[in-house]
Amino acid sequence: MEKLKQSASLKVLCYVLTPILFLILMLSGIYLSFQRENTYDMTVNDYYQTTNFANNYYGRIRSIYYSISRMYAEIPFRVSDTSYSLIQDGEEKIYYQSSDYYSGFYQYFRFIIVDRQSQIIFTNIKTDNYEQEIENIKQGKYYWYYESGNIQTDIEKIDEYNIRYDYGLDQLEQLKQLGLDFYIDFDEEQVEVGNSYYLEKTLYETMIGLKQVPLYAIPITSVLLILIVMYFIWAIGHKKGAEGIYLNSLDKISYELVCIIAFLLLGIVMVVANAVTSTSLNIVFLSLSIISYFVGYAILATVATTTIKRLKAKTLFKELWIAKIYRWIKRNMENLIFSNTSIMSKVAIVYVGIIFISFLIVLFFHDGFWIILLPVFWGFSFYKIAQYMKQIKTIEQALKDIYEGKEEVTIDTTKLDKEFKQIATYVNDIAKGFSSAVEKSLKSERMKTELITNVSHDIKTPLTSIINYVDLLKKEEMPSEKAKEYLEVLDNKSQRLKRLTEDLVEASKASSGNIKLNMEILDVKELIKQVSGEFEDKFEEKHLELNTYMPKEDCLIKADSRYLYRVLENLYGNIVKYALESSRVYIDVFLVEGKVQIQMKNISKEKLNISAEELKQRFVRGEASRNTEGSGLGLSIAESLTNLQGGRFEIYLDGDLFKVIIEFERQKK
Amino acid sequence: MYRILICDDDKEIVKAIEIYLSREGYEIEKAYNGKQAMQIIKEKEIHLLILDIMMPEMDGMQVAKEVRKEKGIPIIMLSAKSEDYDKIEGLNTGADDYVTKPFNPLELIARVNSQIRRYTSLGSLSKKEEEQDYIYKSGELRLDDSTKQVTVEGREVKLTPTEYNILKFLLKNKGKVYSIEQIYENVWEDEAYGAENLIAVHIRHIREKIEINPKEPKYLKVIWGIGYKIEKIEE
Repeated sequence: MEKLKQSASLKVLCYVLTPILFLILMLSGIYLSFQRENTYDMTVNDYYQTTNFANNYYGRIRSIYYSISRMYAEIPFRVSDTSYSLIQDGEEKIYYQSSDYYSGFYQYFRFIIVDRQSQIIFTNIKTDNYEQEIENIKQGKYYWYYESGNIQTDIEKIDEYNIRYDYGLDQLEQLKQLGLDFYIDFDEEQVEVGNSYYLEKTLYETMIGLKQVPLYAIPITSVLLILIVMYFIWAIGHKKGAEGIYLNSLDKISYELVCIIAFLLLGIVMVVANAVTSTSLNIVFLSLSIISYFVGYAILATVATTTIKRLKAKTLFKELWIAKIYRWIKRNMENLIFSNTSIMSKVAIVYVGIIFISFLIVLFFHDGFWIILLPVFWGFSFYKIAQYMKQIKTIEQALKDIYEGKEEVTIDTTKLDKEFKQIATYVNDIAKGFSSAVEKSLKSERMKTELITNVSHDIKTPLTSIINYVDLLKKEEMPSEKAKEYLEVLDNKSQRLKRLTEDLVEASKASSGNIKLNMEILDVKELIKQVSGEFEDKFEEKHLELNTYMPKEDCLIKADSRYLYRVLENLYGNIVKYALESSRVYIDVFLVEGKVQIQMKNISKEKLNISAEELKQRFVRGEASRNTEGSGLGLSIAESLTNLQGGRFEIYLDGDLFKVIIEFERQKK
Repeated sequence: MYRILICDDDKEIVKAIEIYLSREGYEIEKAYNGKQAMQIIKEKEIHLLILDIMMPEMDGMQVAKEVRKEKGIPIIMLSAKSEDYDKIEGLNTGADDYVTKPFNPLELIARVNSQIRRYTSLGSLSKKEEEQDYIYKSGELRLDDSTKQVTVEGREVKLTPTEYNILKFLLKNKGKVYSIEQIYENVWEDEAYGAENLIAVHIRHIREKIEINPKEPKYLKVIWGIGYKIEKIEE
């Protein structure tokens, strides 16, 4: 396809074929219309049998007779026609007319006109014996004669022709009155290559031979021409090795100039062609008209090619002088009116302009049809203002998106007017800066997580040895009770260190959102039952009495099953660690305004002299001492994980009452 | 006498594991990098490989890949990397189990025993037994309803009648998830109403009895907020 598009030889072929095909189409059309209107008699195959030939023949008779009758009309008779010269004077007068006198069709006729009363002969033949010559004419192949009031001819169509067109009959009547005998014949031997009859005859014979051709030629050439034109429109401007539309130097000069030059050249060609047409049908005429046809075609094809190329390269309208002038005027006008003016004066200018133009319209067209321009102009002004408002809306929307923290906010400035383009560019820059800042902070958060993960790996290896050897040591015989006690401390602390490293990684991942969630529909009631079951033993150990309320309705939410368990595990674990022993613990599920809420309440063992906000921060624990087993990361992890899953996490402290609320959007089945 | 190869670049860890495992009666080979491990595997008959991932010269993943090309011996990976994708990568490379550092020595021993048993007695279970319709099993978890006996990896587990009934129901329908309510409806036929709330507790007890690490169960899985299921393990 691409190859076809770029093929230079195919294009040249098309350029050459187009005028030929068009010529064939044109000639076929003319020929067909000739056939339709019977301009040419094509009923017989022999040219000399046609009405056209008869027409020519009869035309000759008439013109010869006309000059003779004019001479007879003058009294006394005198040879006024200078084409005749007296070659024999005496009893018998012979007037001779040179055959060269007329050009064209007339020189192939021989004629003798005899005035038997006055003994005068008019002829274009030189001979001694005119009686013999008359006999010769009578014996000729294409003769016509008028003798003693009777017409004799072997050209049948002559009569037919006369009757059809209804002239010449009165002349025959005159001929009768004058008592002239008229002998004429057509000398076929005079017809040679290059002269008019030959051309006419050849043309006729060719046309007879091509009788069926237009029936094929017209559809075939039409289809081919349409294909070629379509191919041109598609392929013009594509050149091998050139990206896009290839423009040569012609395509770069002003389009107006090209059009003017083409117009002038076409004018010259048409003048020349016209001059040639007025001359008679011959080789010179034919060749000249063909040449002018091709030259005309070349000019038109060049203009069409460059037009298509410019249209395709989208340079036509941009490069027009008129468009350039228009833009120049517009720019200068804008600079003149709007530069260095405040926004208010701009508004004022536009407003005054609308009123002024309205006023002008009323003034000029107040009692005519064109008063309709006033509502049209107002409509146009409204449309323009509405468009401005729309653009303001676009910018506002983008700002709102940035405000809401959407990513990749950009305004398409190409659709905005000049005034708003600048604003939109500023907004785009802010958005870009904003999103890159967010990206940067996310990246640094990720790097932090990575660092913590790596450090924790490095801590874990020696920790493994510590834990294992403490465990081995525990199985050995201890020298004293004190040693046993110390070993217990080592065991506890190493276990805590282990938990701390694990929680640290988890907390940093949760707070940076570096977790892949697998969200699914969960039943909160089921979850609470399951987790309560997990912690039943531990609650029992601390003599904690668990009270649970659950609504009858479904309590479905969308969350990640594993991470939501981690949240609850941390909170239940905290209750076990920090709740007052032998107290009651309330874990309830409520449906609140389309949300599912888990409420966990317990009485703290230690005094909570700290705010809820502080409590949620990393490494902060409720009690002042840091002796218990927790890492201080539990609540922070729980909050981060809840938020990541789209839930709300709140802590309330009221005296010794510690209350956690987790809330998720309720989902329908 | 089974021979276990311990490979870790931390000599103290290798030593500690050696102490634990030789108490269990295993013969121990030691290697401190991947190349050494490969050498020993070529020279001696090894029944189980404990492999650290992060090692100089040739890391644990490469060793596992190389070993897997020729031998089907069990490999337990031992690593400080505890992320999910680390575990998945390790298991995909050909490891049979993945233990994170710092590890509980008892858990490691249990896992070693389990792998050794599986490796040495694989295929010795008679086909005939499997066809019995009173035998329910998934992987190495096996419940014989005719003798009311439950075994995990060859070790017998003592369950209470309630626990036994729950496990039987889940094992019968292995692979399917059941909520507490569904389990209650299916297992309790004429027992006291209100036992429903205790099902979660029972299930934890079952897990503690049949699983090496109840927090990361292999057989009885907890799908939080949805229910419980017995994992369908094909041999």
